Amino acid sequence: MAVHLLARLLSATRALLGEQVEGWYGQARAGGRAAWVNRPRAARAAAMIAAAGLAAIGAGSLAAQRATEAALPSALDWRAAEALLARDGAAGDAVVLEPAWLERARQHVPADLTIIPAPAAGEPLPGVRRVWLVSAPGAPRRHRTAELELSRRAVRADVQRLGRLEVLRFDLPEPAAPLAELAALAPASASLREAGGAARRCLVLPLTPGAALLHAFPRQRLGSALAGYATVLPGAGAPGVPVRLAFQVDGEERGALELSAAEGRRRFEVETGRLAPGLHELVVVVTASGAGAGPLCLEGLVLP
Amino acid sequence: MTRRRRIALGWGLATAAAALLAAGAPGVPRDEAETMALGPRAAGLARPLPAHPAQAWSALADLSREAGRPLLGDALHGLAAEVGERAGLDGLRSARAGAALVAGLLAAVLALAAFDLAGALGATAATAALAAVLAPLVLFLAPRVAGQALLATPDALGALLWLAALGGYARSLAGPTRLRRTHAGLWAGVLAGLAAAVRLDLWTLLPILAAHWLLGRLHLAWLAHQAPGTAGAAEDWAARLRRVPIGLLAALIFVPAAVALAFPWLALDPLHRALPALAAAHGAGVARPVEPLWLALLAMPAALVALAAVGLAHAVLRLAVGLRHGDGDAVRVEALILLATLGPLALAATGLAPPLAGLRPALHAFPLLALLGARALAVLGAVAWPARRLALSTALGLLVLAPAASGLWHAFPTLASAWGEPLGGAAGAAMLGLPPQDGGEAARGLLPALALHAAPSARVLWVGVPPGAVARYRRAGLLRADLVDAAGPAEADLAVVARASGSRDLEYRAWSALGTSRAVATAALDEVALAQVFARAGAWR
Repeated sequence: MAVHLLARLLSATRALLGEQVEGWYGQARAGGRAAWVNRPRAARAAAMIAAAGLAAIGAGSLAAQRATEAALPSALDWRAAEALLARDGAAGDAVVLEPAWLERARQHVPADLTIIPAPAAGEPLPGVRRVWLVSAPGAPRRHRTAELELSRRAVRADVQRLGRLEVLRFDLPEPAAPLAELAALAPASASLREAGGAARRCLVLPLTPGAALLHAFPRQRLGSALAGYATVLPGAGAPGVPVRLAFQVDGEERGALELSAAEGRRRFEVETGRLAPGLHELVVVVTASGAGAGPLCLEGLVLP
Repeated sequence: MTRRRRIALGWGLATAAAALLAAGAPGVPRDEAETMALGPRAAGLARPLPAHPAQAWSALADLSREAGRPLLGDALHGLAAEVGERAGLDGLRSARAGAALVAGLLAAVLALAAFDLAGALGATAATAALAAVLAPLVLFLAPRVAGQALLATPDALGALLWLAALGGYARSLAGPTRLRRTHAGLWAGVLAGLAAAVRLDLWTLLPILAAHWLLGRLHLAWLAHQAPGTAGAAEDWAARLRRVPIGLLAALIFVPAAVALAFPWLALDPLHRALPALAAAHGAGVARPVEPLWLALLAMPAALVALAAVGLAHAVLRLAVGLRHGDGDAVRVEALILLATLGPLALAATGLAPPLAGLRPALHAFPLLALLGARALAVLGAVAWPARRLALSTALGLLVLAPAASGLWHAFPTLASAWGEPLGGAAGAAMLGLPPQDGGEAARGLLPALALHAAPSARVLWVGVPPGAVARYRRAGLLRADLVDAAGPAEADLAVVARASGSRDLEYRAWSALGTSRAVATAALDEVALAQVFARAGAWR
């Protein structure tokens, strides 16, 4: 009896539910049909869509402006970074900016720390023990190139979030300690110049068309190699004028390369490991084949 | 006075007053420094023209050869600067008095044109008035356009004349009487000539008017071909010539005449000098850091770019509907506006716009885009919700213009450094290596700090700041009188560096000579350092 009653109850509920759903469906169809019949004409529909689109873009633009402003560091953040670097920075430390345009940092990084360009893969950081990466993580379209490169070669020792600024400390496990820097050996000819899109301290060697320029360094100990970068700076003439750069040790040419301003910053390495121990005479010979080439910017390291 | 004129007058006066008030704040970019140097010279040489024509003409020829462009715009700014100085305006304001006047006139003409254009749709007077109120807002709330309108360069004047000549030409085609059509046509020709005399590349208005007429003739020929029975009798050449609009004929005469008068060097040997002068005016073979059309798309607020696109689409739609239904008036007006708007943009896209900084190469297209945008805003409300058309159009206008107004407020006075929201503002543009400013104008923001902290008689090296701008700052009293210019990095005590997208070698050499790369003052927008000061030890107090 009870089973029979339950079956009847279920059947009645199902019928009721079916009717209800059918009613809803009918109503929705009727509503849809009425909406389609009374739909706005094409011009009105297009105007409504355009108006809605413009309103959305306007509101979105306002939101984007606020978001950009909120993502960038404030004056307080900069002062905090300045205090941190002044307290924890030490001589021999370097600062890298990410993104590179974050040059307001030049006003806040303490004078005894050097701001260096973000190192490319494999580029040595001579004499640097620790690198402080000052970055704005919320900056629009930011890449993490410098952070990734530094993470590859160093231990990330410390991260400080200062408002919308981030200061990361990287301790280099084996700081590159060259025997000498060519720019330091001839300070009168050394200067900061633009090479590879950044400021580099280099030996600036003027070029005279056809004539070879010989630059002799004081006698010194040479290690495994002489390595670095050479850049022909833009001059008055065409950027394709070839320039030959040769390295002579004790009067004998050990290596040479040919480059031009169009090639940008070129890496070189001259092997000196098989030389006899002791002091050697190093001469750099630069020859320009044509007129109009700018001076040569030579960043050279004597590697141990 | 009619409502149309009241709106135009109100806008004209308000814009001129606002421009004059704001004129002291922005720095002087390279192009403006040129006009500020050329203008007084050109005005001074033009004054004795009636008394000693041969002598003055020869001197003007020399000056125009040196400048490499027509002198009318520069001379007008020079004249206005003189008047401004006599009226007691301070340094930068007096030099920019002409720019304020031009901005006011441009706003007034734009309001009149918007009223007429919306009224021609058959819209109510209230909708036409709304379009007239919105059009100057759409134009001048764009930070870069507002920034350009504040500067004493020939470009805003060229844009004003371009718009006025088009208005005159449109009236010459649709005037109720022959006399009115002739009158409007002659004015259109004169204004087109003046536009070309202000900026040589604006001679392109002439081919645009010719193309408009030719397209009209082709359309008529096509209609006659479709209905062969209606072919008329053969016409002689005199009758055909009478069909050429008076505005086009006037422009054919006045454009070369005005260019010859404003560019005496070109007038002395037009056969040999015309082509090189035109090639230079269109920047043939000149490399640009960023193409002007891209710059316009990236630098304008996104909502205004979208509004301009809607305005253009609306004009195209009206042209198509007009062609389909044989509405000759609509076809004439829409085709003329589209040709005059898209022509400069096409030149900018193909690298044939003048090699000028920022939006200047295609600035004359922007009032037309504002006109179309304002009309579209007014019409959208009326079509989308006829019962609440004014409320909807106003609300929509507020939503579209609010980001532009906010961007203008945020970027002022470094308006040429403003970039659109999709890019991420100046910070996003810096990430992509886009030019941070037009020509060293951001250094203006460092002058108060320099006056306060520079050591007495310090020698200042200006990197990326045009010498003309430095001279103007000094004349305006914005630069301390005891500070002297250094010839090179080695002699400098201070270096003021205005960043550009090119080489920074001189800046690095200055760091080297000063013994520091630590900045002592910064002018920035969105944390992008637009200009910085570097100081030798002891040179900054």
